[in-house]
Amino acid sequence: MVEILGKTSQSQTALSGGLLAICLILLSVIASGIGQYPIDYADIIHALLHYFGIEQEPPDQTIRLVLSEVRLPRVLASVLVGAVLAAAGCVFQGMFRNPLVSPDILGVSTGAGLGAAAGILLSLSIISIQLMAFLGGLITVGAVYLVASSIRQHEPTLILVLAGIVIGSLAGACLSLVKILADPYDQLPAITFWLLGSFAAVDKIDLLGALPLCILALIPMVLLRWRINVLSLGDEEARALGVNPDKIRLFLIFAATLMTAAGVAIAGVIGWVGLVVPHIARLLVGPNFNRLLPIAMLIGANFLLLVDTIARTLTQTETPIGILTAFVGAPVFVWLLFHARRSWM
Amino acid sequence: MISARNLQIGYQKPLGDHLHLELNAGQFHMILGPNGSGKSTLFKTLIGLIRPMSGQVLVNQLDVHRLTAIARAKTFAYVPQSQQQVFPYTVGEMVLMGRTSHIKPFSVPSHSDIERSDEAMASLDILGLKDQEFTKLSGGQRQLTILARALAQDAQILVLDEPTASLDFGNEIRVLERIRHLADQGWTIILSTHNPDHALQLADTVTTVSHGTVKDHGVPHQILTSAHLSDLYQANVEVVSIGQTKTCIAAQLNRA
Repeated sequence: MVEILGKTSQSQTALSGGLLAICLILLSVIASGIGQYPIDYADIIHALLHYFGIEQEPPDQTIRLVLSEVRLPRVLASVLVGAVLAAAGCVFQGMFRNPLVSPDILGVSTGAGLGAAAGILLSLSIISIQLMAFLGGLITVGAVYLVASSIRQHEPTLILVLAGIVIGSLAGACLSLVKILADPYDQLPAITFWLLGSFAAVDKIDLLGALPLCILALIPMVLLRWRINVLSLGDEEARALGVNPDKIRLFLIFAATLMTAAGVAIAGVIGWVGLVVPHIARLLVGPNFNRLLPIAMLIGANFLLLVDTIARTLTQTETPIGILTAFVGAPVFVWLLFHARRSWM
Repeated sequence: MISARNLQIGYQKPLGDHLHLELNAGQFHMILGPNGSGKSTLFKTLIGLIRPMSGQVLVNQLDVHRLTAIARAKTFAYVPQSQQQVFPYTVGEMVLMGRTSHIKPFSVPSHSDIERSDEAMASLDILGLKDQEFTKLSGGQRQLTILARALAQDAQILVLDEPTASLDFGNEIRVLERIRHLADQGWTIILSTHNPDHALQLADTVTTVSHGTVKDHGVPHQILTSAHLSDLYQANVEVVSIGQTKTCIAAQLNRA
């Protein structure tokens, strides 16, 4: 009898998770192969095996360089950013009890973008730019939360989204100001291209800088996975069930903001992933955070890796990834609005 | 078990006078009052979800507002008025959330938690709904799910805030039968309602509330008189006997 609970959904989660993981590995190998300098898949596997000490014979020097300096950092960065944007989206939606919010709708991405652009303007180091991005994101989400929670007499779901749009566009205006102030030959192109989102400039150092922050932010999400479910029922019910929501909610919003900012700092503002991916994951395995988080992260990683690979191979000049995620995300979200379960509306 | 002393309730400003209240263990208590009388506020103050304006509430000799969230959840299993849920959790997951106060912060439900929540569902005959989505249930099934969640919580006192408020007649009867059955099994229950019939037919004690304070407290058949109810609801109400039961009718609504 005991096993009956969620047995179907548990095996469904394992199956979805397994398939998504295999898909991610295949996609990573394929993505490492294509580009300006095509590399044979056998060579990639050979190079990887050598790297892990299984294969003795060293790979071709050019192949090794292209893989380790260009392709792999880029592949891993898009996997990482896709996963953390999806995770942050799941947390924001649960913590605000609102399936229509995401890092971009809450203005966190724009705020982080503003912080990072200011960092570029001041010619700061990559670590300082990340810190600026985090502060920008945190200030924006704080402002959105304050505005939304002080307006009580209206539909809270809608007010939160509207507050996010208002504060987000304010941050956007400040961003335009930063652009005007920026050096038009050097800083402005960097800011503009980076605001549209791009993995083109990602190197090992960026990746190694963002990774610890993302793991740090992920720890409370994994540890508190059951409490997150209870919190998503609302403050009063959470309190009645024995969870004091105030601190833990702020803490998780803080973690999700940190994650988003780390992603924004290396890849720029990439919309839609944090909004759409949690919905797709919820359709697959339900809202239980225990299952939702890993599945959403895998979907996010697959999605962003695929889109980035298309972005850099579709045309001669690279298409900014934010444009492509919008082209994919917007129609998918409209489809979800039409067809998905009514319950989350 | 619960005693309120010199209690003044309210959100920002006091709703009414100081009140005193003693509720004993093992009984079915009802809090009766018209809409807007402050019974929800009284209710939430008694279980420590709202701070009182003045005075204090003791449960088992402890100040209810000093309990930790976990200790409070082990004392009171609170069933709020039916709320819109955002995410499509299954009935099984909803009931399992009742076990949260027995689950460590960084942990997930154990097998014994799952067993306990299955028992709670079985005792209310909703084990068959386990894998269904909570958000797709009828109002009555939803209320039974939340009731099962409260049972799975293994608290000392069941606290039900207008559990039949949004139910149709048949569902109201079914939910009330279940609650009466729980009271017969020895649960201490506090239930708020605006329907005097519930108190007349089910409760051991009743507390009438208006303007944020207690009007009267005692055995329903003794204190719920035509005069008292007419005063409470500001309407012409008559209590009549039908066989063994008493019921409450609107005195002037009959067609001549």
